[in-house]
Amino acid sequence: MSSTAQVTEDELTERARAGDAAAFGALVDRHRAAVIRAALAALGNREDAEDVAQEAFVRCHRALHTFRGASSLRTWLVAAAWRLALTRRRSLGRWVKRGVIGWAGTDGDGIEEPADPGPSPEQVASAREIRRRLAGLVRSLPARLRDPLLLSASGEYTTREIAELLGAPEGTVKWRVSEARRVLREKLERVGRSRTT
Amino acid sequence: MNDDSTLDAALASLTHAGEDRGFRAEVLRRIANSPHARPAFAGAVAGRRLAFAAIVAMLLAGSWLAWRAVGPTVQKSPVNAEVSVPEPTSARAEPHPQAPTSTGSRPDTAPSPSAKGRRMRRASSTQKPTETPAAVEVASASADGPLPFGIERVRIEAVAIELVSVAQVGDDPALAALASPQPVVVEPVHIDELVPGT
Repeated sequence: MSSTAQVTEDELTERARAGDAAAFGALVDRHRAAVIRAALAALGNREDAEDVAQEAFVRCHRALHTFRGASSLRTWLVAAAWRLALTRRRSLGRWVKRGVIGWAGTDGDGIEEPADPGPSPEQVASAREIRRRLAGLVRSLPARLRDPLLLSASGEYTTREIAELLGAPEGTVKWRVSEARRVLREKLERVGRSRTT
Repeated sequence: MNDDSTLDAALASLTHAGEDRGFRAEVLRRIANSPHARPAFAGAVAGRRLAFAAIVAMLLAGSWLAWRAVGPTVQKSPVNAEVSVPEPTSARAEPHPQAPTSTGSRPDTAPSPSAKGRRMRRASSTQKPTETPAAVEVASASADGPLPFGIERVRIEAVAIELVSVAQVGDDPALAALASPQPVVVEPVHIDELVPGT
């Protein structure tokens, strides 16, 4: 990996296009988080998200000769993952409607525990409970609010990138994120009231 | 969960990318095992695409040439036989006796350049046109005059397009989807139906 650590992305792309697997592996390392987070925002399930992200990398590798650099490679990869994730979500939605499976990630399973050294078992349990409830509330949001909210909250993408992914104007994306926060906060307050009464 | 930072942190955790856990290795393994990476498969895909493109091109070219067909071969078409009626010299003149009673095709001899004929579609063998001389004049002028919007007067005939047969495509399911049990027949549209008032 030392041979690819210092090279520019354009150079890595050229080498990957020429068939250098190590160069493409370096690109995978660089953009793995951005691609997985987009898939995770759409699907809410880590297993499906990683599968979609890997498929996005494979497809982009196959189509690397068509990449002309009009956008950044990262944008290209994330857009591919997002489209695949939406397709997977529609497919999963059909299974959910048929009652074959439950909605992926509704119960918070598969949500990665962020590295947090030193919390007590009670803190861990509390944080896990909060995330579980929050995941359920986020899933209850309509997709037009949930998608921009999760993409924005990931901190991985700019508003412009989110707007391009969703095919909506930047102003609309900002409003949807704000509206999603408002709705989510109301839901959280209702949950808090119901727990105290 | 009372401030934005707490909410943001909780939301961000929902899309946390996690550790690598062999992600890169799995991507490279998929690429290596992808059938698209094998030259034989790529050649087969290219061949199929080329064959499909050739079939589509032949179909398009055949239909285009048929619709563009003009000249003596079209005049002999049995589907849309035409009769040629010389223009009467005056409004009271009787129509040419050959015109309304003729049920055959256009004669092989070309009409004289001075004779202005009119084209009339034969609706059926039992139905004969009943037109006054004045109506004949109007129809003659509109049928032989220039058409609007640069429309070109072209005789067309029924076109039977033979699609790919099942025997030709063999066991290829992608090409078999193109095969039709019956040839597609494209009925011609007469110019009289396109130009109102004729």
